[in-house]
Amino acid sequence: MTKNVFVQLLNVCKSFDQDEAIIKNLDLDIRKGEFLTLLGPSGCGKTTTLRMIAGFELPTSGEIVIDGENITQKPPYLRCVNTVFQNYALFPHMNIYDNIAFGLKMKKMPKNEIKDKVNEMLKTVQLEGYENRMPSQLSGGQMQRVAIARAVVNSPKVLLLDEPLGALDLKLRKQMQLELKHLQKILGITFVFVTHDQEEALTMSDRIVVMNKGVIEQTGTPEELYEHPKTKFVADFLGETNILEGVAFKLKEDEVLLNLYEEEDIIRIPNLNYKIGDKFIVSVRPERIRIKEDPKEGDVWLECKFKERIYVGSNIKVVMILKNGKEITVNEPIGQNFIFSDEIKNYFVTWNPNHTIVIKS
Amino acid sequence: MKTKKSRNPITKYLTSALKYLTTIMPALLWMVIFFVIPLIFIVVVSFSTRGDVGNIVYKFTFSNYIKLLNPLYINIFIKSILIAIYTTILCLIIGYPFAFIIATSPKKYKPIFLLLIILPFWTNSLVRTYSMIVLLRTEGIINTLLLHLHIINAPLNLMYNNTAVMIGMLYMMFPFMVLPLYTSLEKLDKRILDAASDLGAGPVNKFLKITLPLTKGGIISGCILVFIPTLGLFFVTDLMGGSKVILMSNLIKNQFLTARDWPFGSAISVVLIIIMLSVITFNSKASGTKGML
Amino acid sequence: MKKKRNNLMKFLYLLLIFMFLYIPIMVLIAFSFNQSKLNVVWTGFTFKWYGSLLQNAGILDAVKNSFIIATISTIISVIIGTLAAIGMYRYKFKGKRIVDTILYVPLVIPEIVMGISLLAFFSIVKIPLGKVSLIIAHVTFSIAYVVAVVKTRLDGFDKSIEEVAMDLGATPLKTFFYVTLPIIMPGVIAGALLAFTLSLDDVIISFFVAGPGSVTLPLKVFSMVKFGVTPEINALSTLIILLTVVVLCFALIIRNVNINMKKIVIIMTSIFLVIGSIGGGIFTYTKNNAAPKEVLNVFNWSEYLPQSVIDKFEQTYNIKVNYSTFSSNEEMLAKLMAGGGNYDLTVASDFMVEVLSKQGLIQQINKDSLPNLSNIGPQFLNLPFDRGNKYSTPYMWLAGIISYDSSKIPEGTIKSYKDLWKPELKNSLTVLDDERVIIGMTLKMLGYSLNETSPEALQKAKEALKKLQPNIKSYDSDSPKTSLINGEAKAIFAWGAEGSLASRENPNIKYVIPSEGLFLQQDNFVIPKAAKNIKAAELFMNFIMDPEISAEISQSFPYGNPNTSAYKYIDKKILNDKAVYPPEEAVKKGEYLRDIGNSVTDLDKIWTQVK
Repeated sequence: MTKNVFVQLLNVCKSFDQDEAIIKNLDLDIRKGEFLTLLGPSGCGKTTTLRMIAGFELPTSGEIVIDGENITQKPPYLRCVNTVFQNYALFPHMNIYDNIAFGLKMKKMPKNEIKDKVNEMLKTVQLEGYENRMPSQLSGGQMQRVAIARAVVNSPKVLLLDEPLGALDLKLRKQMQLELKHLQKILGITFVFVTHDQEEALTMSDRIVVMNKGVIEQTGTPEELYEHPKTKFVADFLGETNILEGVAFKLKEDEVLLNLYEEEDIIRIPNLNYKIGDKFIVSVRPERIRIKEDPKEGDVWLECKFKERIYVGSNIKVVMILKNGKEITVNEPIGQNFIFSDEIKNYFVTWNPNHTIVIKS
Repeated sequence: MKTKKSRNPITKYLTSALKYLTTIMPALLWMVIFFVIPLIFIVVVSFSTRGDVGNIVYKFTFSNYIKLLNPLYINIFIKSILIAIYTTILCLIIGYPFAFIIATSPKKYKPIFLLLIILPFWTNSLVRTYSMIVLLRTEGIINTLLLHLHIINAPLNLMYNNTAVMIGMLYMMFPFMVLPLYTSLEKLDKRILDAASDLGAGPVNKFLKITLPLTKGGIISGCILVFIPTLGLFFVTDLMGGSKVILMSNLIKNQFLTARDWPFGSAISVVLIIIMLSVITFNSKASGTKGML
Repeated sequence: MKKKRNNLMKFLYLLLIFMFLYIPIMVLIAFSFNQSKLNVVWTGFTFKWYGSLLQNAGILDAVKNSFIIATISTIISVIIGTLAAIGMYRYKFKGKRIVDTILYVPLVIPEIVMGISLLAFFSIVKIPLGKVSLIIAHVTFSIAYVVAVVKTRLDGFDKSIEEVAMDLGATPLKTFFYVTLPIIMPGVIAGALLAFTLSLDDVIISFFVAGPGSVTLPLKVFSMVKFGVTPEINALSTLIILLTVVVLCFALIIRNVNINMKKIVIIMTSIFLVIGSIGGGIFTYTKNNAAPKEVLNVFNWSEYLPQSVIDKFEQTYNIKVNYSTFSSNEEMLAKLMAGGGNYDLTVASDFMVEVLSKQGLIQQINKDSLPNLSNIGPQFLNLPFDRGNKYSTPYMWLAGIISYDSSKIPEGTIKSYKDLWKPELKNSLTVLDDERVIIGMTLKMLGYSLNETSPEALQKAKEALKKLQPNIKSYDSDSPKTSLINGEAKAIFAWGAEGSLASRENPNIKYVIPSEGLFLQQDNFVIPKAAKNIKAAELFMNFIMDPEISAEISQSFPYGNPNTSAYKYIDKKILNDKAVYPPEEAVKKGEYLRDIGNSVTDLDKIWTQVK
């Protein structure tokens, strides 16, 4: 059951101006103190959802409850929620100190208390000494930290982050990901994070909500989503994978043989009460696949030909073509330098059937 | 789970009509009262007649407009429009290269040049007109100089004619043409010109096929900013033309202040407004945009 | 080296244009330091024009008015305009396009249309023409500019900043003041500067909606340019240009200043201090005495009453006089009809007194309040246009005289109106811009009466006038003597005093009393029906008829003085000046203008066709 549910979205729908609904019947539970990520491609509705929690959009129908309080109709300045914006949106006409102090000033906190809190915050985001600088004088990463500080200093019940790391270069982004995660652990505040970068989501989140076209595809921990995707979309979206489709044609005690469409390639998957004729969509991660010249019995193997090899730095991706024309991508770790001598020669891709992820059709 | 419709009256802050009413209402109200209504009034008056001693008799009539069909007035209209057109064209021909040179000059000079253009633009228009008079008068600088240098024998008649009026208008309106031209020339992405060169276009082609079409917006803005006010600058005509040159603007002024034929003056004004509206609609159609900013 | 030559050409072109733009202004500034009155030859360096400028109460008054009007209209239009710009930026609603159009159309309407429509509006709604009408007019055209400028600044505004503020707990109102406003402040200030400059500079619209006592600087300059004789106007222009430079530099500096609430406050306070001190300085200059309790609005021909007399009146009775001028009877009539209550006292020529009384626009005068009336010679009283002097007291009488520069036109060339048509006088005449005078003169030349209205006579007059056109260089009722003095015209047909004053400047100027007969006019003081301060008006009327005062007037403006008791104070030279006091026989042959009723429209037609 729902333990520690802190934020609830109940049957929330959102559409703009009689258009097609952006968000359809969304039900979401967010737990206290967790780092939750809303993940999905552009236009899936993740930002809209976030903005509804923040109060910048009103749901067309449905309710939003935070800490037991129905805040669906409350304006943003009355909610105990703070947002870190994508482009930081620092006040250009105030210095760093005033930027961070703004929310506290709005709460009419006494001046010395504000001073203490702001200084503490500056320490936390490692920007001590920057109080009097103006935003135009800061680098992207520094501005990011000010934006975070400005939001967090108000001790919100929930912190919302709208693709905050999008504008940073890769190295900085990776660094900030770790820092944010660390920060969240220290503060203990519930974080709701929005991103389209699945790697980022996998790295930082306690739980991920995968969204597509206004609905939730699947909710779960990164491992759950990665290892056991429940829909083709989730499987495809998180990490790289190879999707194969086939139909069961032979039952064995612990295995089922699938006939891949259009060819007579056979793969085997663990039998979990399937029947002959069941249609399947399966997914195999590239890192689980090996390429062999002679297959051994006991493995799943498919005949293929070599197409191309792509150097990615940390590994090499090899693209092979199956008999039915579909491509299959394999991660070849450094060291296993396979020399593909002949384009016409037949190779075999093989993997342990237990690593086949079943997404039943 | 209940689904409530978001209609809590207290928190209608995003869509309350009151919000935008308080911001726009004052301006809108003001303009309607002091701008739209007076204009409507003028149109109404244009269909009335003048009483014996210059009061307004509110009887609907076309007589003022029929009066305008008199070749005498048609001539004045044509003359006014011609002078406005000539002034606009002259401003354009002289101003375009000027704006071009400034827009393509090195960065460090640009602010200075701009300042030098804006300065006359912000100086009192009467002062500028007067300075022109000082130059052009019979015993003004130019004549004195030319006489002194024996280039001419008798003073040139530079004032109190159509030419003087046009020079005065040109001097007055020149910055109005240059500034929009400069803005659109400045926005021109130099890389496009580079691409054109790369593809084999010489300077003439570059100008005709790329620069000119891309700065069309600025040209049109500039032309409008010059053409329309020129039609109404009665004091330039007055001062430079010595009451000898009569254009639409002087005619209107006379009707309102001297001849006290307000209905007739209103009719002329309505014609002026129609001319202006046609110019603007022509412009929107030509450039495909509404509004000129 | 093609590039170098290219650059040289470009540079030359720029130089040429800049010269075109700046040489007139430079000349203007240079001659403000010139000793000589005429802007032609350099005779020495001096600051005296600046000195006399600062003493000129009329100019200082105009400056004060302009600043007050500019400041108030700027404040109003900035507030209204900024709010509107924000509203337009933020919200979408039905009919937005229409609002957009309404807000922007003033930018492309010829100002004259706005001017006349406001004039008509004010007269219908019975708003008196004065500072209020000017402020309203200025706000009306400024709003559009402020909206345009602020909107430009808003276009680059990041909406999420407002959302952040609200996210952090600021109500929409607080968001506006703490976040939105400071950020768009440079745009707002730019808009304010623009509105301020436009207001200070406005000629056309102000021309129509200004009233007595609210002359703005441009209007003052306009009248000065028409009379333009002293370089005081150059000095004034130079100061105006200087002010523009200062404002521009300020505008540039402020672009680079960081937008910060504290700095804004500092800047605004310093602006106010500067304006306040300038204003205060001017204010004290113009208000040396205790604040007068009463105000008298006087409307008169231009160049008809010396400032010294006005000053004396003000000091004697402690009444502030707002003195406005007009250039023709018709103009006076038009303004009177538009808002007669604005003027307590006005001057009307003979026939115009008839018109005014017929129209019920003037009231009967109380002779008991005018003891000085006894000073007026009896031959000037009880004239046909106002039997019994029920409405008017005589002011000055004048005759139309031809004055010419004898160094340019040999004596004896011109003896009559007819001679004005001589071909050798091509492009040499400046004549009064008055249809009744000129058409009347032509009629007289043809042998008819001045007041002839028969169609054949008018037709002949029209033909004749057409033939005269090539000889006429300019029309000028404000100060025809200027053209004669500065050499623009070789001869003028104007009132005698003009010729007399011209001859003071240039001894070569002589005059001719036309053989066909004199054109006479008697000007009188009348009190409009709707006058507010009748007591003061009567005091003024009486004051003018004081012999010494009357003489003082004649000294400055040598028109025929009906005040016989004043003769002993008037300079003998003037009394003997034929231009001012033509010989008896000529006067007897002369004619006064009469009201010709509706036939005026026929003359209107001819006038427009002929000019």
